[in-house]
Parts: sequence; C-alpha cells; structure tokens
Amino acid sequence: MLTRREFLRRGLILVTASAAAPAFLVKAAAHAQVPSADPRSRSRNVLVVVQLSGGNDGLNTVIPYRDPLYRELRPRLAVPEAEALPLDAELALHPALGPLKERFDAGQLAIVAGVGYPNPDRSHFRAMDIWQTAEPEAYAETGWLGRYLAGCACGGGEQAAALSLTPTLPRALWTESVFVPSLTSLAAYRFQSDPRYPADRAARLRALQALDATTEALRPYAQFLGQQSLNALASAEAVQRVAGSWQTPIEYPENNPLAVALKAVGQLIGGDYGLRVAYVQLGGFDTHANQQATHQRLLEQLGGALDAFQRDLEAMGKADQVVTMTFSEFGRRVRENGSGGTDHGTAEPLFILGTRVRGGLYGRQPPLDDLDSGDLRFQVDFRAVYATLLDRWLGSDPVAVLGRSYAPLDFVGA
Amino acid sequence: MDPTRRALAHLFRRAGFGASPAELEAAARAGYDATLERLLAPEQVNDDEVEARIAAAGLDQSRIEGLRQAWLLRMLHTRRPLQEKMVLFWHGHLTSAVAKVGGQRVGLLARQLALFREHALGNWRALLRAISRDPAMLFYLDNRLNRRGAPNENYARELLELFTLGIGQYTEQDVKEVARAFTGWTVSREGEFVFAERQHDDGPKTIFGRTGRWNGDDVIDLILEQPAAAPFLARKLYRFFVADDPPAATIERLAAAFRASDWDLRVLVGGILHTPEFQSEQAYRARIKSPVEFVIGALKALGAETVPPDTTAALRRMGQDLLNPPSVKGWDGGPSWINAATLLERGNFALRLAASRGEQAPVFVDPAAIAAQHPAPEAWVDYWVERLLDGDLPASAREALRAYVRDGATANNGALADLKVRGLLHLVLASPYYQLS
Repeated sequence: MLTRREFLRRGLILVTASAAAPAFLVKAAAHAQVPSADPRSRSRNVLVVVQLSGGNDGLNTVIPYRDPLYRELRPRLAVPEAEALPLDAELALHPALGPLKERFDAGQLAIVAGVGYPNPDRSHFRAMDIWQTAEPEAYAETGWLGRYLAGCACGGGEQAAALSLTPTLPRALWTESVFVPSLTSLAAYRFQSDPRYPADRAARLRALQALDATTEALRPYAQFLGQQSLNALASAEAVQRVAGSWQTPIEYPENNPLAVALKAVGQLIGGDYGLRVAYVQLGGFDTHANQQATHQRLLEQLGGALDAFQRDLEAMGKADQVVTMTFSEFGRRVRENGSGGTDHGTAEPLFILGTRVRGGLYGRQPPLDDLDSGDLRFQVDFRAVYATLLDRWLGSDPVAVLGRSYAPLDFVGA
Repeated sequence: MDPTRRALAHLFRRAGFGASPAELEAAARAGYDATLERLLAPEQVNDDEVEARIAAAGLDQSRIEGLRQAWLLRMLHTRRPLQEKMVLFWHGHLTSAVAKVGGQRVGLLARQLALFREHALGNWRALLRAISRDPAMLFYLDNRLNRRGAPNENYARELLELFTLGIGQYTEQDVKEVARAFTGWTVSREGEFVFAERQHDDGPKTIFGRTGRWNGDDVIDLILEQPAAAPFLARKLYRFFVADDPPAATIERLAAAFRASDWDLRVLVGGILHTPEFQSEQAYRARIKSPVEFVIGALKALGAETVPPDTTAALRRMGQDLLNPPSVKGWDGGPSWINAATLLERGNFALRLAASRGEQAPVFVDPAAIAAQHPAPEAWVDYWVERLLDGDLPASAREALRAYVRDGATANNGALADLKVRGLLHLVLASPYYQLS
C-alpha cells in the first residue's frame, strides 16, 4: 500500500496547493503524513475526548443540590434533592449519571467544576472553536490536539496516531503535519471493488492511487482531493488490519450513538492500532425547550457509554492506558427560560475518567449569588485542564501547545 | 468537448444538478444565454412531468425517508434545476432538522421545502418574514415557546448570527431584545402559525441602538437596514455558485444591486451567474461537489430514471443527511465535505453504480455496446472522460486509466469489456477530478 510519502520517494513530485485555494484544510493536506500503526506505542497513554455538542447544562449535571438559590432560579428544572446523587455536602450528580457516581466512589472520576474562560462567547460555533483551538482571544487555525500531534516528541520518526469518530474532522484535531481521519463506521471504512472480479481489486487500487498522484497544482482543490484520497486508501487498509482483532465481551448500550463511537475506539485500542488521541461526540445538548426529558436521556447515554467503554478497557487489560475527558462549548443560563429550557450560558463542569485518574472534586463551583448578567463566573481556565493532560498524561510540553503555562491541577499524577 | 458545451456543462453543474446527455444536447441548440435566462425564469417552465413522476413513485411523504426520496427524484428530473438548487441552498441556510422538529411532523418539513420553492428566487424580505412564521422553523428554533416575560433566545440569536448578518454585527443585548420582539409568534395545535397577542411583549425595545415597540417584522426591516445584510447573503451565494474566495469589489457591486432592487433574489442570483468570474477558467471545476451534487450529477450523466433506494443512507455517510443537517449552521461545504471516510464512501457509491447489473440496476451500463462502438479498449477511457469530465483530463491521468485497462487484461474480449468498462466508470467517478464541480 502506497502512502503519499512513498510516492514522493519514488520521485513523483507533488507541489503545494495553488495559492488560490483558501482553506487551511487544503494547506494541511499537502503536508500531512499518514502515521503508521506502531506496536511500539503499545505502552503509551491514550486520551479520549468526548465532545458534548450544543451546550451541556452543567448546573443540572453537577448540581448545587442544597443551594436554595438553585431551586429559586430553576423552579421547573431543578433536580429534587432526594433524587440527586450526592458527591459531598454541596454538589451532587444528576440521577441519570448513576454509572459515573460509581466511578466517582471508586476514585476513578475527577470532576473539575466551574471551567471556562474570560469574556465567554455564547455563539455555538465561536465557542466551540475557542474550546477546540484553545484560543479565546484570536481566530486560530489549528486545534490544540492537532498542535500536540504535530509536536509530539514520540521519537524515532514515529508519529502519533489520532482518529475522530465524527462525520467531519473537528478543528481540535486540525494540524498541518499529521493526517487524522474522521469516520463514523470502521466497517464502512474500506475501498471496495467489483465483487465479480476479486482479482481486479489490486489493479483498481493501483489505478486510483496513480490518478490521485496526477493532480499536481491543477485546480485549487484537485491536489487536495488527490492527497486526501491517497491518505484515505492507506489509512483504511491500516484500520482494516486491526479492526477485527479485538472482539469485545462487553455489551454496549443500544440506541446510543456515543456507545457506537466508543466501541469503535475500543476496537482500535484493543487491536493495538497505536492510537494516542481519539475524539468522539454526543450531540443534542442545545436544550432551549422542554429540557428535562432530553437532558435525562442524554446524560443516561453519556454515563452508559462511558461505563461500557471503561469495562471494555478493563476486559482488554488496558484501562490503565486510557483517560477520557468530556467537555461542551458552554454551560447554560442559570435561570431557566419560559419554555422549560435554558438559553446559552458560560462555565461548566468537566469529567475526567480513568483508572489512573485521582478521583474527586477539583476547581470550584461558581456561586449562584455572584452572577455575571445571569451567567456563572468561571473558576478554572479550561486551558489549565488541557495543560494538565498534556503535561501529566500525554507527556508533552503544554507551553508549546497552548502558548503559555498554566498551573496544573492534580487530577492525574505527575 | 466544444467550448459552448463545456460552458453549459459548467452552468448545469452550478445552477442545477448536472445535465444528462440529452439535456446538454438541447441546451447546446438553444445557446448559452437563452439557457441561462430559462434557468432564471423557472415559473415560465412547465414542470408537470416531475410532479407526475413523484406521484407515480408512490412515496409516503409523511415519513422522512419518503420525503427525502421524493426530493431527490425532483432534483433528478425537474426542468427547473436552478429553482431546486436554490431550495437546497435555502435548506442549508435557513435550516431545520427532522431530529428536532420530530418524525411525526415531517409534513411541516415538506411545507418548508415548498416555501423555499415558492421563494427560491423571490424576495429576501418576504422570505425572512415567511420563514419567521414557518411552523417547522418555529419548532426547530423553539420560537413557538417564546413568550412575554419568559423569552427564548434561540431563534433571535440564529436569525442574526447565521441567517442575516453574521457574528460581530450585533450585541448580546440585541439578541435579548430581538427575542422579545418575536414573543407570541407561535404554532397552533393544528400546526399553523399564529400570533398570540397575549404572549407578545409590546413594550419598547432597543435594537441596533434604535428604540421602539418593535415586533418581528420590524426586526427584519431593522436587520435589512444594516450595512452587513446585503454583502452577507451575497458572499454566501457567491460561494455556493462560483468559488470560495469572492473578490471584495464583486461582492460590493452585487450587494449594492441587491439592495437597490429592494432585496430581489433573482437580481442577486442572476447577477452572480452573469459575473465574468462565473464563466472564468478560475471558476471551472474550482468547487468541491456536495454529496447531493455528486450523486444526482452521476445519476443524471448516466441517464438514471429513478433514485436508488440506498441513496439517502449513502448521502448520510458522505456527510449530507438531507433534512437533518448537523447543526443550525447547515453544512460548511467546500473542503470540509472531504475526509477519508466520505471520500471512500463516494468511491463505494460509484462502484455500486458501475458494478450493478440486471433489471434492478440503478443505471443501465452496457459494456458490450460501448465496446462495439469503440473496439480499441484504450478508447473506453476517452468515452467516459468525454461523458463524465467534459473531456477534460490531464494526459498523465488518462495514461493511468489506460494502464488500468492493460493491467491484468485477459484475452476474452466480452469479459474484458464487462470488467474494464465498468472498472473505468468506477475509477472516473471515484477520481479526484470527478469530485470537482
């Protein structure tokens, strides 16, 4: 199987994309290399990021269940005190998060309360970009995980493999030097050929690769497409080589898109794909109306999927290699709206899950009697959470990725 | 391919969903200018035949799959392709998604598509007033629940951020005040728009620095008075029809004409299609096809009568789940359509068209007839390049395809045609070149 790098070695010249092509993705594709699945990385740590899209209502996820102000501001949406799952005298989990409560009690779940950044943005798209680029003050092209992958000191020319189980590549993983595939199904991620002539498959693959390599500087996007195709063909073969080798004994919950994605991540980790970063998402958190039932269902899906994934990792004996982090683009307005829902807000709690996590509560719950135009004031900069994971889990230099240093938190060991 | 046909093929790809060989032939006889004017005047074109085809298909359009199939069938056969292309544009711009609106309310999504068809090349102000009253939209962005004293900001924010002005053109306070102006715009139990006067907040509001007892229609007027309004839509439509890098001067000119026409969308879209940029070499195959453009274009070029039933699922895997866009922003388009999985999916869809044989095949490919017409196997390459790529392919790529014909070729000519004519079709449709519009 030829990668773009091998084409280059064989003397086929690929010049950089025409200046007329505007998008960063185009520029990136011109340089990105397909990391080879490397069994040497077996012992290395994996970070799984779970994006909760739409703006998760943090106040009904990690709940100040004894605060009378909470009940006053949330007359319809407040979770009854008797139903909440207490973490301590002040905070409790939503009742749909039973599996995470068990992980918390087992010391495997860290909760960072009040995470955000100065001058929070309430647009879904800008706020998501801020979390994914780790750049609240400027419009950045690359993502924080992309910069980690690009600068990852993995040694020996080896490159970190990352993969996103999403329909499009999230900006968090944009980088100019590493090819990161995004896909939604491992089974569908393959080059198919005419079943009547199995012997012709190799000829077609060769022909398509040759076609891909003829696109130099022709039209703005032609070369981008050729490079993406070469990378896709190489990476699909690599994924197919390992995808079937781990047969999980765990039953993941049904009707749960996050479980489907995490099961695929489990297959790759179990098959020693050499994954360092995996990205998954669960959508639907934009609960402007009739929030209660929707939020209940989403949190059940979150807890159920994370729990199955942890058990899967335990079954394959790799739970000690994986840490999972959740985040959303923002929390929601403290006072419920007139539709049984909540509008866009600010700070939120993050979950950090794993057997090597130091479970417990971190950060500080934003006080409800000191709001900023109806919104929570953040207590912990989200980049401090990223810096902790980069430094203490991925073994990378946080300053190189984030541009400055942040005091680490203690939810994973140094 | 002669220059007129090449220009027409470009026009049909952008202002429609591609052309069948017969359509291209007819347009070449009519000429480029007449064809463009006809595209811009859909109301003058009889489209009864497509209605009859959709009726004959017996699709249950109260279910989402049926509605999607009916829409794809319309894209394939309509004689008003620009109107339908605009419906697709509006669906991606003034989005609503079945996941939120609800599978039991698919009828409302069908009505929303009909609304887009009615206003496709109509008036922007009228469309904004209509979409603000559209039941599917009132469900999708929750304005049906927006009440006096208990506003819901969802519609207000996206109206400003995504539909009309863009981020940075309004304040958080404007969002809150616009939400108040739309209080009471809701949906009756029967699923019709109603203005619930008792739920409307008719107190004074300050929007863009102007204070008055504004209602929703006033807000739309205030928005259209903002300098950002005309270039915002002009830029998005330019990207949809021409290329990803609109020149500032062109946008300025288009925006001025759009404003001067009192928001006539036909003036804006016609203006874009008449720009020298649209017909320039820089624009030719400079856009990446959306999944819908890829699929419908291939079906049209191959003379398909029907849309294969697995098409909607394939489109979803290619990243364009019709009537269910990933967010209120619709689809980003351009290079974001392309990633490893979606590109492989396009290739695998191409394979299903190329390798399906017999009565149930979605398209009729006749390798024996093509081989009889073009006895030299290497001429099969030119046959598909002419039909699918306007005859426009670099010599090195043509040579790669010829090498494929020779690669593993057997002596038996009949089997060779079935293998390689179909194989070439697969490869051309899967190639980087075919993904460009």
